[in-house]
Amino acid sequence: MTDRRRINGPPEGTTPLVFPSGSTHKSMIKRSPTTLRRIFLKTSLTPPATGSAFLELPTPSCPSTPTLKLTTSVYGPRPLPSSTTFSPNARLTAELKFSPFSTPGRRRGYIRDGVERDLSAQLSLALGKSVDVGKYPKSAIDVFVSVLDCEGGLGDPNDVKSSGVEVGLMSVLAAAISCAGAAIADAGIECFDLVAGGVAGLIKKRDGEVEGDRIVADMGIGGGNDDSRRGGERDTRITLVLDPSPTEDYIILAAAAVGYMAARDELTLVWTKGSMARNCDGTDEVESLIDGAIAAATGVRLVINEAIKERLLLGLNAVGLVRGTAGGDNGDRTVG
Amino acid sequence: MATAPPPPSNPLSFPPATFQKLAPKTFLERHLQSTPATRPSGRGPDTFRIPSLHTNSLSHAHGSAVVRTGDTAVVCGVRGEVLSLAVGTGGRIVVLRSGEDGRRENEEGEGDEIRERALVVTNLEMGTGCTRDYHPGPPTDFAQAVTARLHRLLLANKLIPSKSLRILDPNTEEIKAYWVLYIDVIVISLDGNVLDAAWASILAALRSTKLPQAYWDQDTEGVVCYPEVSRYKPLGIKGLAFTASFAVIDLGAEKGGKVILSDPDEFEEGVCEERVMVCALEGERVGWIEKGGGVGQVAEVVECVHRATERFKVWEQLFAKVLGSSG
Amino acid sequence: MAPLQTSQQTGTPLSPAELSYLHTSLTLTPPIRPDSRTPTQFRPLIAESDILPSTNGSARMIWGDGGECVVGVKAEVEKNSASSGGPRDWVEISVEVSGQRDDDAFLGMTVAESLLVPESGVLERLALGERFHWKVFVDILLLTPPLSHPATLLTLTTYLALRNTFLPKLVSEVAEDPVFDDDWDNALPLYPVDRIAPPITLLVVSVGENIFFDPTREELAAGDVVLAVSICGKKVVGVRTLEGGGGGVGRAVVKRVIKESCEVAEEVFGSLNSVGEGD
Repeated sequence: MTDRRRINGPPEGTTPLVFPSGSTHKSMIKRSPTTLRRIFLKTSLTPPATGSAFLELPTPSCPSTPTLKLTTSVYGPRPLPSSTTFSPNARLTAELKFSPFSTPGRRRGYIRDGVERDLSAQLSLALGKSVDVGKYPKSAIDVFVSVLDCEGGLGDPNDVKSSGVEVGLMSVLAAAISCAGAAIADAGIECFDLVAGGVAGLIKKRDGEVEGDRIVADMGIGGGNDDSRRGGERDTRITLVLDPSPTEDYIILAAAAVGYMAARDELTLVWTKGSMARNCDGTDEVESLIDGAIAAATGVRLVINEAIKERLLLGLNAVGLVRGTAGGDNGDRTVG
Repeated sequence: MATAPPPPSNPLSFPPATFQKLAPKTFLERHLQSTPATRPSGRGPDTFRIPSLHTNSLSHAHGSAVVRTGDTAVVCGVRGEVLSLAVGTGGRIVVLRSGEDGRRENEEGEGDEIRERALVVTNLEMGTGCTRDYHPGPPTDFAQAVTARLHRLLLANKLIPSKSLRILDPNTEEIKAYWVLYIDVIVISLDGNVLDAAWASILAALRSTKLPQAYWDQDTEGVVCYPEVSRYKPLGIKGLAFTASFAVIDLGAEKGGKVILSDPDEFEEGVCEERVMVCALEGERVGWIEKGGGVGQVAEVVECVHRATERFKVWEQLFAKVLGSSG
Repeated sequence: MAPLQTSQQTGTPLSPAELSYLHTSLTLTPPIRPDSRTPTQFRPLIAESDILPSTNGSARMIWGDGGECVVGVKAEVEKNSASSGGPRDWVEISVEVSGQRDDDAFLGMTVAESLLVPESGVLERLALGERFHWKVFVDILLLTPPLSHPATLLTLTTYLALRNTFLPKLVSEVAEDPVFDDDWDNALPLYPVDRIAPPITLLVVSVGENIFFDPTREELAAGDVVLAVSICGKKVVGVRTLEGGGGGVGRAVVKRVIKESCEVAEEVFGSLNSVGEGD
């Protein structure tokens, strides 16, 4: 059915581009598995909103490599519409939307699809548990996340991917949690703690070697699609990688995303994908994945702290008064 | 203009923010009556907000631009998809009227293919939490109206040469398919005058757009693109056109008459009824004028046109600076 | 008890005082559940398989609280096409909740994610020679949604249906157009007994030090954290957080929940596999 309230394309429908061969090339890995990518986070970039934040993963060396960009705006606490029933707590709703041009392959429509609804639900869950909802009865807190650009790996049919778990949605969700956490703090809404998102993955190299703490990076671009399943030597070369990226050249066997409150050492959200053995030579893959994701979230938390502190100091200088603000400054140095 | 006459002995006083909320019209009028006339934002009536522009920061769009004027920020992404003309594609046989597929290279034939086949799809999304009043969901009337105006402007100005949207069979030089440009504008932050910012972002994104070189492949009966980035081609956008929006407020004959506010922000848009929009072209020409919401002198519109031509130069310089190097 | 609200999203069904009472009784050692079950005990349920003769596999389950779920699995032969997304598109899952306009995004995603987990080997069994494959449609119909969260009901029924899904045996060569054996007795199971079984999702709620399985609606509201743990064979294939409770939980709790789920899952698999044997 066509959307009559928007301008639609030709009625015959259009097709996304077709390239002669699988021309998507994966970037080489230059990070060590425990290094997080740098994050650019800035608050208050949407002045009409009560609080807002912009998060970006800076583009790596090759400019054509996709990166992640999203903006968040927070409105509230504002009164619930009169039609809704009484609520003793604040109702937090989160809406995550991919922009039409944000994903590889087909253009995304404007109407929310299942993926977006699922991510929105998980996002509001992760945020809702960090906000002191009891402080704001009969109020609504609305969080809007717009994904402007993402790295792919969303499990879309047009995504070229041979095997493994799609980690793109998890990266988007984790970034959205971090960005929204910063935006909620920017809005001055009382929280138990700041929530940050983190992702960890168990990966297998396509055809390279994993050696101790470093991954050898001298491998051909785009090769190895055919022999990825070669030999079935699955359990030999598995590494835990923090903040895995769908653009990097490895097979992700399993991944976990968490929403984590570092100061309280508590989780607000757990989401895992892929099969994880319970007791594989003494180590539990589920536990190490969750721990890895928590470590990633702890790293992100430091960035959020800085962004909020910067903003707070700016505000204090402008107003010229010092208040006892709940910035969540305690325990922000709990790097695992 | 005494809306709230306070007793002179004990004047009732409000902080400015409260005053603005209680009596927005009076608030704006008082500001404009001061000398020199200043708007609540600190700008003069004829001052536009300073624009900033970034292009090609998105990886999955063929062209993109971020435009920020004051607290209004928009992102525009242009993405090409292929409309195949092969018979029966999409369950519909395309019947061409005589002359429609004839290669009329003269000026007036250019825009027709784009219009008739809907090769340009413009949309504006405001349901992003850009401002307090917009919620996700279907676009509001205002968003639809702005979208329609943008779309009309784009078609009317004939900026996109239809030649660059044709995909030919390499052997017979026959048109086998068209590029369809999906132009999506996402409003990140809204503080009035979304039209100017959105239009500038569309223009910048179109000028930065590079489509892969595509050809009709006989074997697969489909359009195939060369993956090499070096073979990506720009659209060849012709000329520049920039819009300038104005809001007009009537202070009354004794207090200075009508004041034209350039580039109104959200608050001013809410107060003023009368609007003017001028689309200025190169060489001090005018492409489009919209005026409504009140009755005004012709001189008023002439003043707007003058301001729009000045504004055109500002945008032109910005575009030359940002896009000049990238071609 | 406070009247239950009809929509699942409109807050807790209990008043703050009732919630606090329930929370306290659930934190006791040993805990007291309102229906006096043990923490790992499931509510009684009726399960039957092979109820729809026109499907390749089907099952029905009726939960104690009135929830009823029917799952039908149909398989069709489809030509491999280059444009589609490959094996990922070979299984189509649709969840329909009666009386609800939109299907719950979460339910579909959970089932799809755990069912299509790499290495489960299902997709390999769907290939038919070089040019064709089976396309499997899993239609999940929640006739009456249970008062508690439907995830467990849904996946247990799906498990039963998939477990009883048979595909006709291929008799043609790899390169030919597929021709099948018309004797249903020779049909091959989609999930052979010696291979990894389909996944199930268990809803687990943690209150204080205690962990409860198959929580009721009220227990979901009183819990600290609600996790949906998907288990396939002996492996965890997915963990998701659900609405319920307030505040975060320590990582130790989450890990313990996952660990215990694996243990309970084995029992569940055992009892599910005995369904149909008694008929």
